[in-house]
Amino acid sequence: MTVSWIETAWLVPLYPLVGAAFSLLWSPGLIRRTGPRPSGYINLLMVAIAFCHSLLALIGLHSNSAAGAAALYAPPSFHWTWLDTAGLRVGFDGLVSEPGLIAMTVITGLHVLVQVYSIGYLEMDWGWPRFFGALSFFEAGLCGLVLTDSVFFSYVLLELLTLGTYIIVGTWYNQSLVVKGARDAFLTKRIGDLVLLAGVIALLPLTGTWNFHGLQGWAAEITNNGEPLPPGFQLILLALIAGPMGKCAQIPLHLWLDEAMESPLPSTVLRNSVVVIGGAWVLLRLEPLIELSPLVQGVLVVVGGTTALVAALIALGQVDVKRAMSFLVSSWLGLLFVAVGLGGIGVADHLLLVYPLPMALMLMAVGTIVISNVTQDLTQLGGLWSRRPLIGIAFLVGAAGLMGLPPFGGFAALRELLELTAASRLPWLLGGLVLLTNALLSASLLRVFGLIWGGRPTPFTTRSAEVLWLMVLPTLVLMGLVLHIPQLLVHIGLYNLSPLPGWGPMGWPLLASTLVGAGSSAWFYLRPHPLAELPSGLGGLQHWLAEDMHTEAFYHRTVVALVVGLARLSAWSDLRLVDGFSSGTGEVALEGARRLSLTTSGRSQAYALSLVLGVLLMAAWLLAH
Amino acid sequence: MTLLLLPLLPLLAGVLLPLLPTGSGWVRRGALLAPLLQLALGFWLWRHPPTDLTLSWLPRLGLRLELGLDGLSLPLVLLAALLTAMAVLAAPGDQSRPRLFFPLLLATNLGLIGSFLARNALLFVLAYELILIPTTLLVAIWGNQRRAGAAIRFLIYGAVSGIALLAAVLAFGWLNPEGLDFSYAALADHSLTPDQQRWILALVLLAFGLKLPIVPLHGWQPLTYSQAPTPVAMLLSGAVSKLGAYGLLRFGVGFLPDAWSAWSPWIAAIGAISATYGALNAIAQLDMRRLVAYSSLGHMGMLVLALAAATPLSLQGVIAQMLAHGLIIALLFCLVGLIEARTGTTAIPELSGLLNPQRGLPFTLGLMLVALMAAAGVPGLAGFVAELLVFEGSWVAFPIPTLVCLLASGLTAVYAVRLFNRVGFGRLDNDRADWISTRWSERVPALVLTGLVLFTGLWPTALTGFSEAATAPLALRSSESVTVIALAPVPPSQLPA
Repeated sequence: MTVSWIETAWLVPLYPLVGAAFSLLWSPGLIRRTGPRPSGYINLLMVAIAFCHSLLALIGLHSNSAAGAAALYAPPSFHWTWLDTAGLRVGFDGLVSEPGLIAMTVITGLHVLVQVYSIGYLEMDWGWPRFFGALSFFEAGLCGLVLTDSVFFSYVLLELLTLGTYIIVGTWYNQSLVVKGARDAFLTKRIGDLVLLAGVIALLPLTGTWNFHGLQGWAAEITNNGEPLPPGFQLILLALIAGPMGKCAQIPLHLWLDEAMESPLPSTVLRNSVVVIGGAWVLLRLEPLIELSPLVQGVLVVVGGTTALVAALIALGQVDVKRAMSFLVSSWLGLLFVAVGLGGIGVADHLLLVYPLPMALMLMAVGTIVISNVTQDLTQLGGLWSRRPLIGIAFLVGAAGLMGLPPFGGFAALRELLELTAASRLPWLLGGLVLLTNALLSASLLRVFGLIWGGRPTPFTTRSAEVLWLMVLPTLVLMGLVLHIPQLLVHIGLYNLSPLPGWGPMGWPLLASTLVGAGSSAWFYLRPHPLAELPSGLGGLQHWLAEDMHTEAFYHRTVVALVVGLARLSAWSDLRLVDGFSSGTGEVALEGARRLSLTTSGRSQAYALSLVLGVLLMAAWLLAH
Repeated sequence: MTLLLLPLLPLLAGVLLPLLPTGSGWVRRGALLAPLLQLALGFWLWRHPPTDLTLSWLPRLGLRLELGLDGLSLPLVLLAALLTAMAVLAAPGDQSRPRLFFPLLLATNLGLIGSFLARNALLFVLAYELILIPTTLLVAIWGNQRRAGAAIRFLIYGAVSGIALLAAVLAFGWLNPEGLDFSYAALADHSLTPDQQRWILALVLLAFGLKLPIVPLHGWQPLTYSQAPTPVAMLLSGAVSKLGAYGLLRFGVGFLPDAWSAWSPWIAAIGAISATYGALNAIAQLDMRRLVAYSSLGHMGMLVLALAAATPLSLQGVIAQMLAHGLIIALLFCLVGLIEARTGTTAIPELSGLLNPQRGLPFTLGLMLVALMAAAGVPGLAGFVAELLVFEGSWVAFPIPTLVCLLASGLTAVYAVRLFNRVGFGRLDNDRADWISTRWSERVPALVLTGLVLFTGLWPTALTGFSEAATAPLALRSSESVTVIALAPVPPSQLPA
């Protein structure tokens, strides 16, 4: 019985897809009598089924039965040929691997929690069918992504997630900011996706396969035979990493995540925790190829390092709590990019595993504050420790899970990363970068905590009632899970950790950086401090950071201006040249017809004569042949 | 002889319909019946391939009634029949002068089916020219405000295209040393010199470039598509323009392979320019119909790129793109027509918030999102299959034009999102907006087309399965011959013998 759960794990993405399809009955108003809520319940049910299935499969894998062990070492695969024509076979070659099952369990579990949470959060909303349908669509896409062994289908699913982002950001589409956010999120992500598509298309003639395992074999062959890299390969590889870069909101494609914050908060929880991880997942699958190219590794380190540091700085300047959290996402994933760039696949895995739950927890905690205080502006919040301590603790647990603080989950991962950088060619630079980023991340997290829970109550927070149990319960359940991340990792046999998880020579500097960052932030923000607002001389800097270093304006002046300019130019040329020519020919023809009409006399003899002449000419021609 | 039924059905219906009484609705039902029967017959003939039909007609002119149905014709016959049926359904319930309107639609269908079935170039020319008359009349009589200008322009461009085609076909026949024979079999093993081939190819490119259209021969297209009534725009953009692609494939790639591969780098460049130019123009449009028209121009550019590459894969891409684009563009025009029927306008700045579930048009806009995303090449929908085959097939031959087309595909997303953001999202205009919801009878064509766009996106064999055996012999380059990225096109010396 246990194995059958594993062998049928390909059903997991289909359950939420069915739920999403059901939403279509309500979304355009086909069913009106019931109101929109049944669509939400159906989706929740399907998501719960998906979670149970993946959990049972994961348990089956680890229950030490012979069959489970067999599945562990030779993961069951399934094949579905999507397209087979003219020598091109494109198949969804699925693989039910252990990491895939863990990822699916995390994804589906978080979806269950978030959909319960959404019922509370969107209690009064009328956009349920679209919202819940899009959430389930996301889940289906993500589960498909972790199951597929094909870089092509990875692209397909990332692209579908982009479309999902557009729909879900546009949930409250009658607000102009939302409309703009949906557009920008879609287009920025699409740029990354299209570059990825170009890479995927160019890869096939080179490697002859789109399957990750095939690519791994191809890369091994190149390495073993000492063959030179095919020309253009590095360019293709750069194109391939553009997709994960976009999805993981790395500079310069980070704009979308910030803009996507216009969506309802529950979707933000999922996006910032598991959807962005989809990009990182693809990056990790591409690692055998990346190892071939020091250039691409270098690019990953530079992009990831820059994003880690800069995004953490930007997060410090944000006044919108959702945006502050979104830049932390970019920053943390930047560290993951650094790990992949340095060839530390195990470290990257670890960073990936400890990240989603704490981030989701913090956002859920923030959501309960935003909904009951009607503002997400950090400067309007404060003094909630006396009113909402439980949620405050939940936030702190989430923060502890990410910053390098033993014995929580993030510590061991960050310590491994620090060791990796210490062994690299630039130990001081990269090690310093990790420490500084960790300090800034810790500072940012404590700043958000301080501005919400510290200080004195503001007019927005004097009356802050506890929210519906539908939101509190999932948050607290998740808090429990976050506290147990190290134990969970040990339990599934991934990391052999000591009681103080993985304390090594790098433990002290890491802890010190956390304490310095968090401590100084606590000093400034837990009680209102005169220096919390930077002095006016430095106010420009804060503003600059708060405005995301004017990235959006930069894009408007460059890419957008270029496209708009070219569009106007071609519209002008079409109007003046092509259209002008066409209407010119039209006028000439009409004028010619008018002149010709003057030649007609209206006398039938003349017409008859011309007809006869024509017939004679034709007969003569035929006779001549 | 069953083959003859395909063109006879619209002919018969077109003759009989005017005899029916106007007000009863039987005219529309009759007009619907013919293409539906055609569709059923087409599927039957797919399972039971017919033998070619040859009847003598004017042997001294080299004109014989030669009809055949191969893998290239079959999918297009099905597309033409389907879109005719959808066009009939998309006509308003109170269509004015139905006893003229529907027969003219069927006459267009007759021309289309005749062109696709023809196995004789002169017969093809006849059928090709036949289409021009009913379509011009349809635009001129039932079009929007600027219909007269649109019809004249359409007629002139169509006439030039027809003359160029006639000249090309006559040249083919006259230069044939074995006497006048216009049958495809004779055309396929001609013994023309390279110079002669090039002259004829120039004419063929002009003729079909005007019909497709490609930049800069598209002067008729935006005006005609924006002025034509919805059913006619659906048929023109979805089926008639495919004649251009079909002609290039049959006459260019099929009959003039040497000249075609010599010129293919230029043709690929034109395709890439068309794709980018169409997409950029679509971004700048303020009218939905014009936007859709330019988007069509862009997609035709990608098709031309795939034709230029002429690898087995890219030719499969050509067929897939013809079918996918036919479905998508007809769907887009159908939806724009629905919006226009309800709101009275197609101007983008005048519309907003139509997704509103109470007083907007949520159903129509929901389908619109699918159609726009299909046009933008989002996976899971028909457009993506075609673009994938086009790009993967053309990459080995022409990497740079392929990259340009990929960029153009990115631009399609810009206008798709821009249109949906303006029209679907946003706040509903409270003064004007209380649109009456669309009825199920009006939704049928859009629903059928959306279903097909989804179905073929998920199961792409529906787009490629008809034609694999037919396109493979036409390929001029191999899909796999290039294992290293070539930054220059494959030289003709590498072509398979």
